[in-house]
Amino acid sequence: MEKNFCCDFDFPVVETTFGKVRGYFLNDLFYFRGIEYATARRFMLPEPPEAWDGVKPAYTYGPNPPVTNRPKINAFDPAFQFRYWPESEKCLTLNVWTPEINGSAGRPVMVWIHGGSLAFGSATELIGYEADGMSRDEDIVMVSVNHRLNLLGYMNLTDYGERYADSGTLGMMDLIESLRWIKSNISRFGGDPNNVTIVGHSGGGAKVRTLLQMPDAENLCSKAIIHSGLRFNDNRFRPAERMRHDSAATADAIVKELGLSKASIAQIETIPYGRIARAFRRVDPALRRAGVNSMWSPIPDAHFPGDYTNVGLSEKAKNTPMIVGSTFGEMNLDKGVFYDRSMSDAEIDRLIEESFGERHAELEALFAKSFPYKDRLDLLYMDSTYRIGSTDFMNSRVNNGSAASYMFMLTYSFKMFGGFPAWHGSDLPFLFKSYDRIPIYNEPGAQHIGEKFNAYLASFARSGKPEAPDAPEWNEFAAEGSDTMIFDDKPFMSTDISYEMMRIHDRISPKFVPNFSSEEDEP
Amino acid sequence: MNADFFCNADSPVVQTDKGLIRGYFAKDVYRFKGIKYADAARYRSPREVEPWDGIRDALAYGKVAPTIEGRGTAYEKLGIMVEYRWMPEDEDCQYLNVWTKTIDCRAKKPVMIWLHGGGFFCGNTAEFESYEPENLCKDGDVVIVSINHRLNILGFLDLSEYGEEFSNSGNLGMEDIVAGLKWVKNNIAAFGGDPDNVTLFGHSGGGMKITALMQIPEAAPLFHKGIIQSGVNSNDRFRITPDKSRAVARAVVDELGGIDRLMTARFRDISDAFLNVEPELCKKGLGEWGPVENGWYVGDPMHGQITDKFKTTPLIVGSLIAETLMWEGVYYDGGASEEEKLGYVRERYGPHTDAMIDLFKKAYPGKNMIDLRYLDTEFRHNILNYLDKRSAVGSAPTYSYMLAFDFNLNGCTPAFHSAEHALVFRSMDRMDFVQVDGAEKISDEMSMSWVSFARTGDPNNCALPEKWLPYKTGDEHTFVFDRVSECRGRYDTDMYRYMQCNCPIHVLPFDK
Repeated sequence: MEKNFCCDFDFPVVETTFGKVRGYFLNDLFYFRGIEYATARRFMLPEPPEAWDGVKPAYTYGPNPPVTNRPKINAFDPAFQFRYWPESEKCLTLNVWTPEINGSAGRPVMVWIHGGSLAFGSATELIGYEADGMSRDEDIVMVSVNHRLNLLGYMNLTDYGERYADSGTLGMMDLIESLRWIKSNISRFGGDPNNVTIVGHSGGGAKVRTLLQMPDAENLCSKAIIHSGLRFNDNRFRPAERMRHDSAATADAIVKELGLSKASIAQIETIPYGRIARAFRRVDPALRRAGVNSMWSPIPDAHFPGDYTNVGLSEKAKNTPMIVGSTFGEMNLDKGVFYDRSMSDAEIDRLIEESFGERHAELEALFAKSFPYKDRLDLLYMDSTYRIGSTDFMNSRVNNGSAASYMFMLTYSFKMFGGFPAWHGSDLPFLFKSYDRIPIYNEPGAQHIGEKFNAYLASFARSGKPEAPDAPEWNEFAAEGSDTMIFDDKPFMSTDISYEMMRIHDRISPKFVPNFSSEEDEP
Repeated sequence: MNADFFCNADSPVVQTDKGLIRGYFAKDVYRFKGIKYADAARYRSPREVEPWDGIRDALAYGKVAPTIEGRGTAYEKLGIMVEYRWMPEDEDCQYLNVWTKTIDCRAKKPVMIWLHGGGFFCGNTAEFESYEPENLCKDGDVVIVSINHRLNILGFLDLSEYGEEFSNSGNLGMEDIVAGLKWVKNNIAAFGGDPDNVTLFGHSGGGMKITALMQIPEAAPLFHKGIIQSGVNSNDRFRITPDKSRAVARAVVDELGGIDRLMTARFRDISDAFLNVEPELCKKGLGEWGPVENGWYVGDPMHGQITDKFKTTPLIVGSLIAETLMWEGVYYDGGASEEEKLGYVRERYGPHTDAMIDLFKKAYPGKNMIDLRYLDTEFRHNILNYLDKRSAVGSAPTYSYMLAFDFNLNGCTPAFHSAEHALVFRSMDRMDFVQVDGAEKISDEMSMSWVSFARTGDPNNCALPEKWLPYKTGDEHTFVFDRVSECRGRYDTDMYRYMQCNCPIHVLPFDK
């Protein structure tokens, strides 16, 4: 490729509604990092940033939103390539990759909303989130957004005064503010403000699901994609009364632990974040034991009428074309259990029996019909939580006469431990076309499937229809169906994945709880 | 791209002296990350790890030494200029990483061991995206190791007044590195490396660690050559005598409430205690971290005793044209008019401007005048003194270099502290700002010289346009890497001698 990096005082510069920003240019692409789209006082709604004179540099990623726990070393970097980053409450920034600035503005826009439940993560957390490949190859404007998380985004202090009326949905309100920035500014970055696809993974999918229910977001996006973001029995989306109760109880416990009261609550706006986080870690185990759901979640309020499982799908959620998908194994990598492919049949029998008890034969039979192209052993790696959650959501859409719905599952087995089925997040380097940077994708099968996957998603962002050259037609998900584009050694449509199997699996397989530990972890 | 990833239950697995470890293979290179090479209790010497059964994973970088609050390298604000990466910190930090093309124990490839910069107070082997050495390993056909170790108040606090068990606690960071070198000696053959051909290369503080290791007799048998990149600094503040180091320790221990507290307190409390007493220490010229002259470490060769190792180790020593640029925090427009640029230059050199312009034009004919505004005064004069000392006492060759390249940033940005990493490690694909015409050529020249030197002790190789002659006082050859690279004799000495006499010398403020 040509070596034409350029970053001058006067190029590339874009004038936004708040002032000029200066990014850099390389190989037919413009990069802007860490553009401040809003500012927010703690526990308050985001506001537009103060306008500035002159040109602000935008070639450094903004700080991460603060999180309640110290980062842990990810033990498996051939697959993840984590990027740790400093934190600051002044974190409302976004990043833009685009092939053109200050010119024609018809490109589709994709907005990346990261995962990590609603408590962790950032727009820069993984090398895989680098979006230049997708932007350059598919002529799409890519945006990724940082927004408040955990107690800063969702601590429900509404009982402590009118001032905190919005405190239960601030993380979502930040996202809405960023979408407003995109609406007003993205045409200067070559993007079409009326063709914005919001894309979320895991917790980011929960955020997309929530945004679609929020009237404030209604005119800010036109399509949506959820990667592994719809969990069955997701206790972040209980009925409104329960959500309000549990979140208020969590906030109460934190406030008490801090030695504060209604009279002195204002102090919570200025004490160091670390103290509030520590108070949360201290009270969290007792809250859980008492049956209080202390997971950070958007709390129904004036901005958020409620989740679709409680108040039904909003018109927006129905009318938005969507792709929804999951991976075959989801949490299989987090579990850290690897099965030896050279095991004898008898050993596999024993493991399957051990894992699934008396219904193992039934499950195995359904598995063989659902996934004839997978190994029997793969049943041990199989996810049901996300598949059921995704299927339920899709059924709810099509039963309500929704816009087009497309479903996928990444079932590909990577060349690791003799074949390791796709895990939670393994589809993301395909979305971003960043897979050259991650060692585990360095094999022909993954490259092949990645190109197809990427092409389908880019096509969806462009036209609302996922199409890829030299690849099968992606049929819409039909009522009570299971129409799913399978990404295995090659892509193909399947209607064979048994919902019943998934439900049985969910009931009898041991639940894996990811380690979002709340233990004391002072440095 | 080649497509060759694998990581299986039984491969790649290597037998170390303590047990089996598993890494992964990608893009023609085996990678073993986060190998625990030693264990260490707080303020105690490193000890060998316990042997283990089964296979341990070495698939991700280990945790890194804790840093004192707010005491990073100021790199973090520089965005694309460095692509800084943060790593989780922990006292349990004795981890090293290995990259190799072969795990055939008969291969005996040259071994290059990377020592990171950050003075003796911060940094780690993964802090820059550009530190990824897979291409240097692959294209240079060498085994690369990078070592993390204790730093600052855990690695260099001299508690020798508080008991025999702490007699060398002022050098624990160096002891960790020595333990890492011993691990390499004992194990690197199993990773395809030659334990009898080990070259240390390090940047900034990492270069100072190499000079220090030459002055530590225990380390002498463990390495054979050194490459010191922007890492010679003989300013007095880095000369840590026992008087100075003990005074620092006393202040910290008293502030914290006794030696016992020091053993049990959280790291953050210890570092806060240091921050409390630091202003007073600074007034007395104390508080810089570094190895303590105590016999185990015999001291800076520029000031005192010189070991045989210092005399007999072949070295490459060099720096960059505008080292301190980023610490100034002011960026000038390299595309400004000549008149404006002259204004910037005059701002810095005042009455010496005309003389400096003359000297600069002789040293760097045709260079952008903005480079003179940014010209390094932290390392080059120290390096010239160091080269002369080596010339006087050394029996092994010293190869001097200068990277004088201008990058296409803000009109023109001359090479700044750390800018060579992407070129030396051949990691240009990870760094956007180096993607400019000419940089790849220099990357080939520098990286292949490093590799050639690691292989034979002579950097000369077919990528160089002319012969790189060793530095001798009088001839004073320096290889200047630029759009047109050449080996030049005594090319900038006069300028630096003039500057030393007439112009204020910048001192790195780091983050203080």
